[in-house]
Amino acid sequence: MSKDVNRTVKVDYIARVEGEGALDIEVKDGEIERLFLNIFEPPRFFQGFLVGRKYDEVHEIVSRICGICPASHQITALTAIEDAMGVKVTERTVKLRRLLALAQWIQSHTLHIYMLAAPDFLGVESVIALAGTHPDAVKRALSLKRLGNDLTAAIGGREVHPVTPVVGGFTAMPGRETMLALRERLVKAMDDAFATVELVSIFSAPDFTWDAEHVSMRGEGEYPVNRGKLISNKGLAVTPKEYRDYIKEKQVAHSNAMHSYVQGRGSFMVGPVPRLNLNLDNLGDPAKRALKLSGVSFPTQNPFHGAAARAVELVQAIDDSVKLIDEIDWSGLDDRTVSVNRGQGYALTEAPRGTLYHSYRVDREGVVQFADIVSPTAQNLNNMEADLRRLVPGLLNLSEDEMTLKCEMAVRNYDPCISCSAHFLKVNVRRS
Amino acid sequence: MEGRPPPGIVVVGTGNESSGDDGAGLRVARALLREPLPPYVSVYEAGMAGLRLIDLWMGCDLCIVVDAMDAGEPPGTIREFGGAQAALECLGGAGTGVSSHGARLKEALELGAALGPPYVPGEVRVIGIQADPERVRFGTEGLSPEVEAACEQVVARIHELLANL
Repeated sequence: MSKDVNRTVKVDYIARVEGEGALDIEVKDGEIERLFLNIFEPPRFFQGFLVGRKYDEVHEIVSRICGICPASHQITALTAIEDAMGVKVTERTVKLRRLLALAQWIQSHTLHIYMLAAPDFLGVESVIALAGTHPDAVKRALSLKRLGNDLTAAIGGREVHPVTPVVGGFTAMPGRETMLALRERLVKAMDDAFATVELVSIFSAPDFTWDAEHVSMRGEGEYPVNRGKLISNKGLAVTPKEYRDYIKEKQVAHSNAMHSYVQGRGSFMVGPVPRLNLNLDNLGDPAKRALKLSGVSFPTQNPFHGAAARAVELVQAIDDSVKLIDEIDWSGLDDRTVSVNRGQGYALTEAPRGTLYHSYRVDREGVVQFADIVSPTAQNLNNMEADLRRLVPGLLNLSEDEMTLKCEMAVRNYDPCISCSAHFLKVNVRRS
Repeated sequence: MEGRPPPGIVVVGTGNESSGDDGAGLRVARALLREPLPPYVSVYEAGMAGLRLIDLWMGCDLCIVVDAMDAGEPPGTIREFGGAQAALECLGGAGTGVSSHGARLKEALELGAALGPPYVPGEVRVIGIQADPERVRFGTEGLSPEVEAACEQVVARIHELLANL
C-alpha cells in the first residue's frame, strides 16, 4: 500500500454525522507492527460550542450529534442539566423518556442486525442484495424500523430529532388512542422480533473470546436505559458523578478521537453484549425465551455476538414498551417547574450502542460553562483496537479479502457511530 | 400501510439546506406545503432521509422526488426523469457527487425495486435541479439566484403534473 492511501483519512466531513473510519494494519514477520483505527468523532466540537449556550438549548443542540440516536443524547443532556440545577422530574417523565429511548433501540438494533450484520454473516454484499435472497427478512426489518420511527414520532413529536422533551419534562403528550394503536403494533411486532432472533441464531460467529472488561449500567429491577449504576465484570461500580474518577481518556497520535480506559486497568467494551451480560436477571420473560433461542450462551466474551445480543434486546425493548404504554397515564401533562440554579450535573444512559455520559456546569443564569460528552463509540474505540490486536494474528493465513472482511466485521460488531460505518471503512493491510 | 392512510401521490423534497443549493428540494416541498393541494397528495420535506423514503412513498401510485443534482449543466437547469430505472441511472451518475444524500435516495429506490410493490411506488418521477457546485458546501446559507428561480418553476411544473393526471 502506498503512503498516499494511508493519508486519505481527513477530518473534512463535519456535515456527515456518520463520519469515516480507517483501519491501518502492518504486519512484519508475523508480528503486528502497526494497528491503527481512526474514526472521526464529532462530540469534541460540540463540547466547545455548548459553552455559552443557555441550559434550555443544550438538548436541542446535542441531538444533532447523531441522526441515529438523537433521543439518547437529548435524554442524557436533559438529565445532566436537571441534575446541575436541581430540577426534579416526575416518574411519568422518567417513563416517557425511557419509552422514547426504547423506540430508538428498536430502530437502531433493527438497522444493525439487518443492514450491517446480516449481509456479513449471510455472505451477501449489502441489504439490497439481501432483498433478493431474503426478501421477507428485509420487509420485516423495514416494518420494525417504521415502528421505531412511529413510536419516536408519537412521543417525541418528530421521527428523527424529537422536539417535545425539554428541561423538566415534555411540552406535549400523545393521546391515549395513538398509544393504544402503537401498543397493538408492538404486540404484533413481537413475532417479527422473535423471527429476528431466529435469523441471528444461524449467524456463525468466529471463535474469538478474550477477557475484555465489559461495562454497562445496571438497572434496579429493570433493564437499564435511563437510570442505574455503571458496573463492570471486573468490579467497577460508579454513579454518574463518579464516572470521570474511574473512566479516563488519553490522546493517541493516530486518531482524532481519544481512547478511553478504566483507571488502573485498560480498554473496555460498552454496548449490547456487556449490557446483556450484566443484566441477564433484569430481562423480562419474552427476552429470557429469546436468550435461549439466540444460539449464543450468555454471558459471552465474544464481541461477534453483538447481533445476537441486539436481537434479544429487541425483544426486551418491545416487551418493555408495551408495559410502559400500559403503565403511563396518557391524559394531561405534568407541570414543568424549572428553577435556574448554578451547579454541575452528571448523567449516564444506555444508548443503543452503549453507555452515554453527559456532564454540564451552568452558572446562576443557566449558561453552560463546561460540557463533557463521552459517546459509546468513543469509549469503545480503544477496545476495538484491542480486539483487532488479538484477532489479526489468527487471520494471517487468510486471503487479503477474507482478512479485510473479518477485520471490518470486528469493527462493525460495535456498530460504531459512523453509520454506513462500515461501508466507508478503508482497510490497509501490509504484510512483509 | 400500518398506521397511516394509503397515499395516492407523494411529493418528496430531499436535501440539506445547511449546504446551500443542496436545499433546493426542501425549498420546493416547503412552497408546495403552503399551497392548497388535493387531499390525495402528500408532501414531505424529507431532508437527509435514507431508507425512510420507502416509508414515505410506500403504497403510493406516483412519487415525485425533487432533489438537487450535478449533471454538469448551468446552475438552475431542470431535468425530469420518469421511471425508477431512469432515476437510478441519473443518480448513479454525476448526481451523487454533489449531493451528500444522492446515494441514499438511490439506495432507497434500489431496495424498494428489489422488494417490489408496495415498497416501490407505482411510478417514480425525479425532478433534478442543477446546483451551483460552488454553492454546495456545508455552512452555505440560502440558494443561488438561478436555483431559487428554478425552484419556482419546479413548483409550477408539479402543479401542472398534478392537474394533468
